[in-house]
Amino acid sequence: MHRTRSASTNAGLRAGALLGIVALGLISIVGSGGGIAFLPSDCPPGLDCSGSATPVPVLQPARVTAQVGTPVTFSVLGLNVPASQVTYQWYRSSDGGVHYVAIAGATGDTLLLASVNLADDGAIFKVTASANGLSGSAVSHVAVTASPGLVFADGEFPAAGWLATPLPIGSVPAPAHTEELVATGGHPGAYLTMVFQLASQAGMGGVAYTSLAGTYEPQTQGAVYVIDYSEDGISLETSFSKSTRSAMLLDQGGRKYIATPSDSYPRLATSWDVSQNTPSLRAQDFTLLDGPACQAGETCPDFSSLGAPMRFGYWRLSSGPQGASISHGIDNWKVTVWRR
Amino acid sequence: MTAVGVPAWQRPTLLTFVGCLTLSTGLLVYLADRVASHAVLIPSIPAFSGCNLFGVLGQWLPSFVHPLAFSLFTAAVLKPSAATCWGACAFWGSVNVAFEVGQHPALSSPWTAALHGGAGDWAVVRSVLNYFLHGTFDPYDICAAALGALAAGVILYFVDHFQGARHAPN
Repeated sequence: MHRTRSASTNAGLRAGALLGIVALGLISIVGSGGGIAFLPSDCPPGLDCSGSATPVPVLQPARVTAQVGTPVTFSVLGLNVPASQVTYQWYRSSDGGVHYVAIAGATGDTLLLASVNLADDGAIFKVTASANGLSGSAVSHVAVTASPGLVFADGEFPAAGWLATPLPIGSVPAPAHTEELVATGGHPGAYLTMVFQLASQAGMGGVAYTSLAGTYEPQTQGAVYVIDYSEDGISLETSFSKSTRSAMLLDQGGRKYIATPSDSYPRLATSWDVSQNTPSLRAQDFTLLDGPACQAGETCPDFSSLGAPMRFGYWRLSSGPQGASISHGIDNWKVTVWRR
Repeated sequence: MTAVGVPAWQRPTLLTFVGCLTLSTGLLVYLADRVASHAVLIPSIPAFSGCNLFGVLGQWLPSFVHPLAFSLFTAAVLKPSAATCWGACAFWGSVNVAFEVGQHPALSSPWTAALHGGAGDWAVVRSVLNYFLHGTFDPYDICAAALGALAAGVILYFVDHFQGARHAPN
């Protein structure tokens, strides 16, 4: 009996050691070559890394809206090669990116426009990062307006101030949903939690939230040039299998649209994610979520001075196991409408 | 027969020692020859940085060393037999080749997109994504990994052969 137990103990120890070695082996492969975000791997100094060392700058912001007379700063936030090897040059295009002109003396990793003016409206600024004879670039689009933006914002989320509309997605039924205002734990203070109960045969479900606090009337307030959107979001789930995405919602003329920035909807983090900004949204950045299809001759949505009144909000899409309950929160919802 | 033998109780110790020695060589490549701080798990030590000790060999040495060392570690905890020894070498050779192939531009984008979509935005996932996205695919690394696994097999063969010889009747 003693021999049997000893043999099984040895086998257990061997199995544990084996698992540890396999884990260590895999971690050491990734850890030695993976690098941290935006840093390269496997490139000894002085050797050609066959193209992988082409600098790829990450420029922030990629789009920006500003009022005449205000400053705008562009920064290279990340780079895939060591900064010490890189030289920068900033360029400006006034013709939609067809031609770029080098900005004299602009050779740092930031570019400051001390006071933008209407001549900067529509301009595209490009930074080129060069290293080891290779170069990469990134651009930022600028929108400049003469008048201040009109702000629609909510950080308190009173129940009477919002309309929740669960929406089916194709044949996927809409989820059941509950909302609750939580006094603390927001970013900061109060915030709104939402719980989506997915249908038993549905792996996802979306709800549109429309703010009832204000309406923008293009016919009296003027055509919309661009819209800036931001929110702080949080996922209240820790399971890999449950996730939630968010997008700005625009409600106009019986149709609901969601903003579709090029980088897809942000996936909410499990701590407050304050990076969910989608600036300079134009009419073409919205896609129809709900309502009648856009007919020939219609502009959907209509940003012109003939457009129907607009309400704003946000749309949440949760996905997870069929029938799952998925929780998430929102704080500091903000829409800024800019006119020319 | 005079034997240079390895007693059975010393086998794991010897294999672990040789494995650590070879792994240290790989670590030295990162400390001395590689750009500082591009490895998550390896700190930058200014005194070593920029020595370029291994020259061109430093480009492939880690790929050789890793399967060699971990094959020996694995063999050290398994019961000695030809099957377990060659199995350990084949496993670590395959793992290293698979990770290298995953860095190929034709594979890294769809693979990382699938991983990112399915696994979320965790630090571990980000490191794996960075490994495949920013790593450099190099066919010579595949050769080095295969050679490393083969070298481990040869070492294990001699260790176990001499051990067998020592215990063989005269």
